[in-house]
Amino acid sequence: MTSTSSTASHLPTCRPTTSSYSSSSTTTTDNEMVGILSLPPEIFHGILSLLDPKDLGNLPRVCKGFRDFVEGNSPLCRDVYCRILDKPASATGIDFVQEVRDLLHLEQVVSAGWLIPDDGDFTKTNELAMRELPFVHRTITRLLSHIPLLEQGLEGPSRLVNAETYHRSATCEYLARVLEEAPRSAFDENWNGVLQGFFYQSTIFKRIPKHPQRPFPVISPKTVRRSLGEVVDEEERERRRMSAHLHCLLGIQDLLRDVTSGSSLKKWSLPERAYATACAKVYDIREYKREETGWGPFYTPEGEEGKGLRVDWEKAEAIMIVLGTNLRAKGLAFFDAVEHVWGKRFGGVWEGSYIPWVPENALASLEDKKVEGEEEEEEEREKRLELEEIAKRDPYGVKGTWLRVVCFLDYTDFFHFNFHNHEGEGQAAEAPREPLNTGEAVRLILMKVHATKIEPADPEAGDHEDWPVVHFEGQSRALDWSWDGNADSELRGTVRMTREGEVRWTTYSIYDGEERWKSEGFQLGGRRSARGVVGNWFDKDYSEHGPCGPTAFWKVADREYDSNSDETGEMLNNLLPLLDNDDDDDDSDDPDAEENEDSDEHVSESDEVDEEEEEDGEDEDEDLDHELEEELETEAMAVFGGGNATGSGSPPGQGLRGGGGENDGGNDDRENRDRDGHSDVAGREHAGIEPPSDAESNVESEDEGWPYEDGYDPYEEEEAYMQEMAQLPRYELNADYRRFNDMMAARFQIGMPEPDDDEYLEP
Amino acid sequence: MADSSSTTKIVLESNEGARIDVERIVAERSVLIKNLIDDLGEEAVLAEPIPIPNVNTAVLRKVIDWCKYHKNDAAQSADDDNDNRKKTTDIDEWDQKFMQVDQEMLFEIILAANYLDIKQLLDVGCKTVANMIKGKSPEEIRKTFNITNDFTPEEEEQIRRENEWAEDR
Repeated sequence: MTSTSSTASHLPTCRPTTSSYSSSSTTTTDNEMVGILSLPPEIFHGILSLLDPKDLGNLPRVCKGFRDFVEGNSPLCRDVYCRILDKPASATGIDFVQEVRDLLHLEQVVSAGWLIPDDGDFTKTNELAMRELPFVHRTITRLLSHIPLLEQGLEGPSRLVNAETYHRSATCEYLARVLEEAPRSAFDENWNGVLQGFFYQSTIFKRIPKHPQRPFPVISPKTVRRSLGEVVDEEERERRRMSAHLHCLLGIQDLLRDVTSGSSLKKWSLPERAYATACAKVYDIREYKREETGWGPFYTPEGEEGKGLRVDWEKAEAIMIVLGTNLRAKGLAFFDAVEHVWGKRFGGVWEGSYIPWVPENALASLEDKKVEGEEEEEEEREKRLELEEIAKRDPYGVKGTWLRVVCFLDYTDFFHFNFHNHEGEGQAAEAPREPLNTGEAVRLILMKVHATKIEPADPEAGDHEDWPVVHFEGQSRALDWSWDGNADSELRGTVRMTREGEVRWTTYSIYDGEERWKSEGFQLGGRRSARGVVGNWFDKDYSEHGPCGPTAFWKVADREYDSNSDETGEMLNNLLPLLDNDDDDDDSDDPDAEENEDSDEHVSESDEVDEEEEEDGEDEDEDLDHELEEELETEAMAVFGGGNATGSGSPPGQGLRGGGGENDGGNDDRENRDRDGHSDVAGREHAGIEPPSDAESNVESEDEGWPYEDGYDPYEEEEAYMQEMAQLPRYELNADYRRFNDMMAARFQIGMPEPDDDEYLEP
Repeated sequence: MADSSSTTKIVLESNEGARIDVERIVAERSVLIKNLIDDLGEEAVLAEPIPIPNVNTAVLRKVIDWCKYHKNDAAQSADDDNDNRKKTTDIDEWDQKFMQVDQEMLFEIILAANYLDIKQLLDVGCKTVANMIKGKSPEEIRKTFNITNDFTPEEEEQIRRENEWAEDR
C-alpha cells in the first residue's frame, strides 16, 4: 500500500551511486548516503512543489539531475501554480510550464533593481518599461482570467464580511504582494518604479510634466501640435491603453494613497496632477460627442467602424481617478461597502467575482410579507413569477441593490471649461483641454433594479452574438441630505456583451415618466464582477452643450423581486448591514464600535425601531440623546450633503483648487449662466447639472451660491430641513434615515473637517 | 473500545532487530500500521512484534518520538490538506527543532514517513528540505546538498542563457 517501492525510477543522473531504497537506509553502507537526489521522484516532486517560481528557475542550473527533473515538468509547474494562485477551473489550454516561467519573469521584471534609477537616469528604466509593458499587461490579464468562476446563486460561497462583495483570490493576493514587494527608491520610498513603469504610462500621466515643480504647460498652438504629434504613433497609443487597462485593474488606491478624507491634495503632487488631468478628460464634452465613442468610455478602432465599440481604457482610467479622488476626499471611500471595491488592489476585477448575498432583514421582511400577503393578486403573482424566471436566465446578474457614485461639475464651470475662450488657441483639433481642478459635487446613490426582459443579441449593432441583451428597470435614491420622499427617479436600461467581450451597461434616469439622463459604461472585470460598472452620464438627447460627468456603480446585495418594495427604507435595509458589519472586520482602530453595535440591534429588530429608539436612551437624558442625534445628523449633512449644497466649495474643491490661478476666487464673479436660463450659480444644486439619478426637487433657494453671499448661512437651510424632518411621523423610514446618518457621522469624524471650520462655514 | 485499546502497547521491530514498545495510539499515526492492525486484528498484532523492515533503529526511534508528540493531533481532513498546501512552508516550532538533524537522518525520516504513511511527518520533512532550497543560488544549493556540478562550461553557459530571467540581479 505504500508507494515507497524501492525500485521507483530514480533521478537520471548526477546522484550518488544508485542504491535500492532498503539498502540505502540501513546502517551498513558507508558511502551510499541518502542524498537529495536519491529520494523517490514523488517525494522529490513533493518537495519541489513547495518552492517558488524563482527557485524553479534556479534548479536547472544546479546539476543535470535537477535539470532533467525540472525542465518541462508540467505536473510540477501545475502544482506550484495551484499552490500560489487560484486553481483554474479547468486545466485545458493552460501551459503550466509557460505560466510558471511567466510568473518568474513577472517577479523579475517587477523586482528588477534597475527600475529604480537612483542615479537619476531614467533612460534605462523607461526602455525596460516600454519593452516589458506588453508582457506585464498580457500576463496580469491572463492570470486574472484564470480565476475560476464561482458557483452562482446563494448556495455558493458566502461572504466573509457583508461588505466584501467578492471572494478572496490567491491570484489577486499574489499580484498585490508582488507589487508590494517591489523595491522602493532609496530617495523616496513612495516612489514605486513598477507603478510608474507599467501602471502610470497612459496619456494622463504623460501629460504630467516630469519636473514636479513645473506647472502644467499652457496649451498653446505649439504644445498642441507637439501633443498631437506625440499621440499619433499607434504603437505608443496601444501601450498607453495597456497601461491604463492595468491601472484600472489595479485600482487607483495606490495613486491616491495619501489622499485621506478632508485632506487637500498636495499642490503639484502626482495625485493632484493626475486628478486635474483626468478631470480635463472626463468633463470634456468632445470626448463623448464623437460618434466613435458611443457617448461612453469606448472607442472604435480605425477601419472597424460598425463592428462594435471597444473599451477606451484611458477614459475609464480617467473616470476612476476622478471618482476615486472624490470618494476619498469626501471620506466615502472609507466605508467598507466602498472601500472593498475602491480601495483594494485588483479588488473584484475578474469575471464572476461577485458573491450573492441577501441581507437577513430583507429575507425576514419578505417572509413577513409572504405570511401577510395571502391575497396576492393573481396578476401580481404572475408578474412576480415571470420576473423571477427572467432573473434566473439573466447571465449578467442584474437584479439586486447597487451602490452608485456620480460626480458633476457646476454647470457654469462646465460651460466655462468647455466653451469659453478656446477659439484661436489651436484648440479646434483634438488637443486635450488644460487640467481642471475646479472641484465637483458628489452623490452617493442606491439603485435597486431587476431584469424585465431578455432579448437576443443584435450583432449588427456590435453585440456579441453569444450573449443576450437584458433589459432592466428599477429606482434610485440619493443617499444624502436631500433625502426625502420625492427624491426618486425611475431607472431603466440594458446590459449587453460587446463583440470585444466587455459587458456594456446603458441606463436612463426617468423623472415623472420622462427620460432625462443617460449613462454608458462597462463592467470592469467582466460579467458579474464585484468591481462593477464604470462609465459616464450625459443628456439623453445627446446635447452637445452637456452636461456630462463620470459615474460608477457596483452591486452590494441581492434580494427577491417584490412589487411593493420601492420604499426607501427597504433599500436602506440592504445597505445598513453592510455598514454595520464594518467592525467585525477591523475593530482595532474603531472608536465607534459601540455606536455600531447599537445599530446592530436596530437593524435586526427594524420592525420596532421606533420603540427601540426611545428606549435607547436608557440611563441618559432623553433630550440629551436627542440632541446628540441631531448634532450627528447635522454633521453628516454638512459633510456628506455638503458636497451638494456647496458644490465646488467642499473638499476636493478646496483641496484641488491648488494652483489654478485663473480659477482662484473666480467663483464670485464668474458668469452665472446655465443652460436652463437660471441667472445665478445658486442653483448649482438643481440648475442644469443634476446627475442621472438625482432627483432634486426641493431646493427653492434661487439666490445663493457658493461661496455664500449676503449672510447666507448654510446651516439655516439645513436647520429648516431638520425641522421638517423632525415633524415627519417617526416611522421606519425616518428611523432608518437617522440611523444611517449617525453611522455616517460617526465615520466621518475620522479626519473630516469639522463643520465649524472657518473657511467652511463663513466664506 | 478505542479508549481502552489506545493505550495498549504494541511492539515494533526495526530492520536491525531492535524492539520498541509503543502505545497503540502512537503507532497508529502510521496509516500503514493502523491498517495492519485493522486487517489482522488486535490479538494477532499483540502476539508478535510488527517488523518494520525498511527502517533502522535510530530512525524508527526518531519517528516514534514524533508520533508520541503528535499522538493527539486531529486527523487531517482532505480540506485541511488542501489548505496546508496553499500555505507557505511554515513549520511549527517543535517540528522545526525535531528536524534539526543531519541531512542523512532528515532524508531517512522522510523515507520512513513515506513508507509508514505518516502524511504530516512527510509534509514537515518536505517543507524542511524545501526551505533549504528556497532563495538559494545554484551554487549555494550545490553546497548545501553536496552536489557536484556536472555541467560542462558550454552547457552551463547555454542553460544560463535559457534561464536568463532566473538569474539574480
